[in-house]
Amino acid sequence: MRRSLAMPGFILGCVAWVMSGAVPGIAGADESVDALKRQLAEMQENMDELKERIHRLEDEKTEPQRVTRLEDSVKAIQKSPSILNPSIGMAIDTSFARRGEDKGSFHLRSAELGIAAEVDPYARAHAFIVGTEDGIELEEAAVTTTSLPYNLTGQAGRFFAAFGRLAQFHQHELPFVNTPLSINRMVGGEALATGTQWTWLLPTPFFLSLTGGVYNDIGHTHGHAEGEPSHEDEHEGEEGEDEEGEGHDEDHEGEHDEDHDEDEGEDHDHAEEGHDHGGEGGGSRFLSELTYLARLHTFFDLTDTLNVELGSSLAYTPRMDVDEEMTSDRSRFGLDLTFRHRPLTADIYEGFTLAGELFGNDQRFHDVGRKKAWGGYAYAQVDFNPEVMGRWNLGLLLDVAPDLENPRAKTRSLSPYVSWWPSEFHRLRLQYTHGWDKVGETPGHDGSQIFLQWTTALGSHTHGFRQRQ
Amino acid sequence: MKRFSKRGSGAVVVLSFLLTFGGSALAEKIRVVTTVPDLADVTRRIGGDRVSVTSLTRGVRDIHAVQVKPSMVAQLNRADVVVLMGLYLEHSFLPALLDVASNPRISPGGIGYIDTSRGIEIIETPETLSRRGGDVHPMGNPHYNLDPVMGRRMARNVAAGLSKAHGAHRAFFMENLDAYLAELDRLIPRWRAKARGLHGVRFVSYHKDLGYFAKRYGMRQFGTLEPAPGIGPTPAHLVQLIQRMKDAKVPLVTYAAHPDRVPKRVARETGAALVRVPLYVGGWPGVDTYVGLIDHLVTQLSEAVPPGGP
Repeated sequence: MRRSLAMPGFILGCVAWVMSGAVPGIAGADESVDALKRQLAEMQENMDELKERIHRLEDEKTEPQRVTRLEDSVKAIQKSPSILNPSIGMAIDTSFARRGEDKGSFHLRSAELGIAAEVDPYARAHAFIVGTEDGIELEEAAVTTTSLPYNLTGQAGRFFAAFGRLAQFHQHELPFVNTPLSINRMVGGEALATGTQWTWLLPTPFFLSLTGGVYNDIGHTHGHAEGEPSHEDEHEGEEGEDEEGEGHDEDHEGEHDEDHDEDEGEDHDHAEEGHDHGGEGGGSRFLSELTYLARLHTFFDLTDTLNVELGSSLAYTPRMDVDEEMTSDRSRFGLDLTFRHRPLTADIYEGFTLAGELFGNDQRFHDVGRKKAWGGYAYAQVDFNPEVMGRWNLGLLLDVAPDLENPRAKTRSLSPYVSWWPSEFHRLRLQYTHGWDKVGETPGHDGSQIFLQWTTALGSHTHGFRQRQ
Repeated sequence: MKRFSKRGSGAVVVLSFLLTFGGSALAEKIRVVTTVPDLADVTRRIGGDRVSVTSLTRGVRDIHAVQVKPSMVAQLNRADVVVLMGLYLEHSFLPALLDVASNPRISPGGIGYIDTSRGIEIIETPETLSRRGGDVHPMGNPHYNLDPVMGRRMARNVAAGLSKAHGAHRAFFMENLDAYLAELDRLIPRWRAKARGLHGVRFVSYHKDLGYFAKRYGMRQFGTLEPAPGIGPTPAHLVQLIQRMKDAKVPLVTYAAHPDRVPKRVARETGAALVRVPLYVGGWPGVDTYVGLIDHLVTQLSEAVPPGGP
């Protein structure tokens, strides 16, 4: 009976509720709505209580889920032994260079394959194999210790010697398109070296490291760099001769710095023997012909947002041949300073970097005698994130590179550049360089040049701590 | 010159001895370095006065864009323990730092390496691993610290890791853990009650960073301002997103350590409430504990949602 009455009542209630929306003022409609609201609220609370219980049960079952996950992981590893393979990545760096007189060319500057893995609990190893239009080269292959006592880290093989800052960067990781000419002339390009180096991280409250190394030599200008006008052999292109292949595996700067006569042919064999850059395993040499390096490197947080990094490097070669009868020692100095500002809050402005390096070179040359040369570069860069359309860097590079034999003659250049990062792994860059060349041996350094660079990284491509920006 | 080098090297040896052994003799506390301030707070609660804790980051900036600084190397070099969120959250800075920290104790697999993601119920694990999907976290969403229930798991992992590395203090750590879990257990139902209004609320975040919080309180992720993780908003994506938000009447836009122009524009054009949320302790003035972070998030988001629900 109650049921039979309840149903019509409910229907009437619903009708009243519906009409209350359409015909305001119908008697009793408001009360029905309130009642329904109360019921809904009660239902909501009941649901919350049930959910609470479900959550508690979920929490309790977390542990078994973890076990299941671990079991799944073990199974996955068993199915896929390749999980222990080294991490692999690749960086592809291409560019278009336009220089005065309406000349221009495309370059595949490098396709760099990087491989890295832990060897065992005591060491890790990495290799970078670089392909260019001129061929393939093993750029780095080295083993690094990971668990020596007293904060010591040792490295052996072919790797970047700890000379300066940007000389330790792969070219595609630089803040601008080309390695500054001052680094090419005074360090020998990228500071690649075959040998061994040891770093001691001092147990100080601030960062302070001391590195010592011994190598066949330091410095290397790659074939992939040689196509660029900022490097020494760009004059080949200017002269309309495609001769990059001839010298792709030689350090042109090294030839210039150390054996400036070898172009004439008679010293070529000697250069192969005495100034090999490690690619072929190196010929025997006296210990006095090796290069010895020391570097002190420190860093301070000046404030929460501002920090400074300072390094000084000395590379000393006790004996190198000037000509058949004369030898000389050679000293290369480097002082690098980097200020960085990174704001704590996110905005369009993301940071500012002011950095520079001063280089010195001291050696004896054929005919002209002993010469000391000083040069260097400085750059300022602002980082932007306008939110839409990726991140941007805007910078200006000033470079002063002396002729080592005639230090008064210098090549100066100014290069504004802009980089656009659609993502962390993808960068396009436009750079204008204007050069004033008093050295005269390399016509490509005088006047205007424009570069477009497109760089991408695939896989787990990383250069780690050393090449941080 | 010869005399100078002899004296100089003698001084270096003495200085090194003092710095190495003198330093360790003075250090009585367990030196803990955490990647984020949340873990620093939890570790302080569990480690009490037996630990000295520093965090590599401040919780203010985007953790995916942390500057790798040599001063962090010095901190990690001296650390007895490193505590991290894991799930590739710190991939942009921690591996590079550990590589040069010369401290095998805190290397992955070392006794002082505590990954608090163990046992976390991971969400948003990618079905395919490709950068076509942006800078994806290959192991799934790593922002589990925003779910207080996962916070309990975090605390347990910290206590277990500290106990393993420094077994002599195990009882002390476990006692502190129990007290901390009891506090969380008291608060979790309160937060749930407070966040009742968030249930069913659809929202758009800048990055997909509120997933665990949303799951816990029944919020529904409608979209992100980024077209893909780590990829900045594009005009085409925003136009489409704004239209979809208008059609669906999405009431809430959130952003964290990101510039605010795009979130403001989207909120203005869609009529949604705009909330800047801290993702870590320290990400908001006065939010200096993990409990404070969750409390702030629950309060802030509940107050932003219009009364009467979504």
